[in-house]
Amino acid sequence: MSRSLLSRIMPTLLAFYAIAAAAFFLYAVITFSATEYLSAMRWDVALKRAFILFMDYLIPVHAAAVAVAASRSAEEKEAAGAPPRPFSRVVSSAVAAFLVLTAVYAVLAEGVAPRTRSRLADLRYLSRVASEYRREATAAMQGGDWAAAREAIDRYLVVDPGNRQMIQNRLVAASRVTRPGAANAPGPSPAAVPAPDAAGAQADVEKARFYAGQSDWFSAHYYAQAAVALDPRRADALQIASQAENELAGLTRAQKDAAAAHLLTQKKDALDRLESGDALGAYYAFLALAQDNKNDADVARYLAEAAKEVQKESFFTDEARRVELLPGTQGILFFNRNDAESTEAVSIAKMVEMPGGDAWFFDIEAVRYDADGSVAWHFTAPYGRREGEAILMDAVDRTDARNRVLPLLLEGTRPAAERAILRLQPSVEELRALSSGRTALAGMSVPEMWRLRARLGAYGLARQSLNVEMSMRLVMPFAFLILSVLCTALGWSLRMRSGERLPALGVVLLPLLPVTMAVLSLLYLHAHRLIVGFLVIGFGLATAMIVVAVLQVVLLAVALALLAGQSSR
Amino acid sequence: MKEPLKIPFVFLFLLVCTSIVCAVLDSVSAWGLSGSAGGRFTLLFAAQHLPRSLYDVLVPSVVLSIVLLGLRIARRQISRFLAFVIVLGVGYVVLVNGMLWIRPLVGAPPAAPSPRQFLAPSTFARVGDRLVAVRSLTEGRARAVLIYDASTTPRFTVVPAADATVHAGTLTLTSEGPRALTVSGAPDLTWTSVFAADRFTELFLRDIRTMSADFQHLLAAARGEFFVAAFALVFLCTASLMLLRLTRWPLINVMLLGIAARGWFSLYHFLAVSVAPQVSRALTDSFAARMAPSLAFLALGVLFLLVDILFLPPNRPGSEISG
Repeated sequence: MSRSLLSRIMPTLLAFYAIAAAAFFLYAVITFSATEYLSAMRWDVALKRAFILFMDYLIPVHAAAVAVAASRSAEEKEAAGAPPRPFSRVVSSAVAAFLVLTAVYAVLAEGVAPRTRSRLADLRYLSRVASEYRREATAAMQGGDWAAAREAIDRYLVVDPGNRQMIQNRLVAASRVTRPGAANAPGPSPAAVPAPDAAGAQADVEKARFYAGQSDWFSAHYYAQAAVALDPRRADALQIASQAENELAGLTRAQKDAAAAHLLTQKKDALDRLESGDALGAYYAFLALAQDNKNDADVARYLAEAAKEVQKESFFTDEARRVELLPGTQGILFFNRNDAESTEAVSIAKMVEMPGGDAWFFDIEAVRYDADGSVAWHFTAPYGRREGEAILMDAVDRTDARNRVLPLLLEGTRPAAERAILRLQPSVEELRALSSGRTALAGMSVPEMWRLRARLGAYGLARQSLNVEMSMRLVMPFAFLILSVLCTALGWSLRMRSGERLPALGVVLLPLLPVTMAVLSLLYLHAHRLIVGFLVIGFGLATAMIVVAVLQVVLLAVALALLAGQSSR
Repeated sequence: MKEPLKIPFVFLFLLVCTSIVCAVLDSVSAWGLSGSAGGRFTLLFAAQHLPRSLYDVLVPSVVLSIVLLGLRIARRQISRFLAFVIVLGVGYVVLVNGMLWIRPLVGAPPAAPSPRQFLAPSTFARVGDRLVAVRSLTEGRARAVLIYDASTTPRFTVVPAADATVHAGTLTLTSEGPRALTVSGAPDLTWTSVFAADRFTELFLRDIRTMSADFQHLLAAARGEFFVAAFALVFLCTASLMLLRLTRWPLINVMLLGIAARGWFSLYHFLAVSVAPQVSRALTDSFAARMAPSLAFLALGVLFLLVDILFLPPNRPGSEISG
């Protein structure tokens, strides 16, 4: 034995890690679900899934590598007559390396893996949202609503910017939108418009003529300019545009004075609205004024003021849609209130946390019912924003007053003042832990679990599950270390004779070794889970922690004793 | 000649150790899955459940003990024929007598857990694909039942009351009246899921349950067939010890034996659940169907014996120095 055990173990470990990582990556690529994720995310998803699989099965892979390395440690012939090295010196460096590897494992398992799991969940959610946008875009294009199609495609492209098909669709939608003959073009109602001819300067010229005939010089000028933009050679369009300009410039002084007075009245009305608390009405009024009076300083100032006021009680839908594409926590489910009088359950499909403690919520549903199961109210809301201790659910469109999204009441009634507000009991940090399923716990670190464990029971989560998960997470590094030592002892006790080469059959059967190790290590961890669960539920967390700590010390001592019991001969 | 005399005692020692460990874990698991809603773990529960646990874990404990005994035998200079006969004889006698002796101590099969085990008031519990929370539960009658189904719109449904029953591992909530609906599925209160195994271990436990249940059924219904089945299992396990001499690399040999032992349970499950019914239909003979797994085990054991006799060296020390 001329080399230390460590020098044999490390290359084998690295080789096993590399092979396992490559195999998991390959598996993740092959089993990539194009229905669950966007195709553009293939490599990102595969990498993340491979890492999670690698972490999930690191213990058996590591155990197999250690056992193989230890069992091959005597392949080299010892010098004739050389005295055997003391076994403690043979394994000391390996045990020290195991301690370092255990620390690395703990950091990866507690630091990197939870974030990777959360990120993978984000990618899944984004894929779902993007698919929805794609569906919206397709439907809008088929229905000829090019503006809506462009908007949906823009949102899609934020998630999947490289999608050529969607880029192509956007060009088509954008070109149709710039042609006012398209379905969503600004202008008079469709009934008053000549037969729609979506494309071509000729159609625009005809519309310009139509509006000129109606003495609607604003519209005539608009369409004439649009025709010129499409075909600068259209002299007739230029003529109409020029005529319309002259007509618009030729307003009489009296008319101008009247317009100024009218503007002043409109501004005063809008300001009155703002001062009376109708921020949203004032916002739209100032917005309408701003479109015709771009250089009016009063309008610009009060528009900004109104927008600020609007955001105290509501928010703009486009902002919510933009935030929806950011990473967040999914599938939140909790009891917001649960007392003798009533129970309030809330489900939030996604929460996105912003810097500064702000948070946005998507696809909200809440129900309040009493002890007899009578529903007091039940509503759904597509968007919400955290404001203090409540969720605001009043989403307004930045430009169109008709596109306001308020909670949809499915059952019962709510006071008008509370229609768009839901008082929230859990903090954002607690909401993160209330994501349904084990993924939420897997995405939390042990300190987070410890901090939140006392309050989560009130929100409907079985506190024991949190305690068990926390205890198991603390056990994992010990399991890694103990199995490392045990497998070293096992491999050493089953090592090959000095100087013998690996048998061909043994090499062929080598892939079975991690499988066996996986079976054994999973059984070992399951036994731990049973004991931890039993102790936590039966005797409480403190007792469980103490007993499990003692158990780990005993198991580590036994493993070290077994290792120390090996002979170096 | 000392070593052959030690083998039965070593086997018994190993069996006692493995049986105790497995039975304790089985009791703990049983309490967690079906009795933990009743409160703290009591010694009375342990005492009542221990014979049942021992009965359930005896078959896998015997298999595990044979494997562990094989590791010891492989390191000793013993005639392989003698070792084979001793392990086969002792293993068979212990398995058959163990099951015969423990069976009278085992009470009635454990009652199905009450709905309370899964429906803790004001706590979300998973039932199939849905989550359910009740405000109160009295004698199988749940009040103010909230059902959450992520796949529907809206996701929440509230019913004033529902009857809760647990049958064959399925929790069913049935409500009447204008909002009549039925929620049915495998129950899983979040805390009971801590006792649930990962999917690979669960497959292993399923295979073990299949074999143990079959052996218990044969013992009760057809003792002659039970003797044959027990012999076939011990014979195959003992013959499998030849894997410990398959290559010059002891570690691979031991791992092969481990994976083989795991494989026998899967094979039994496959034969008993998938093949036996087809055999029964083809031969219109339930006896042949019941015996199919045992016959396959015997055939496989004979094959292993032939390989051992014809191709493997009689002795291939497991290591340089006995550890």
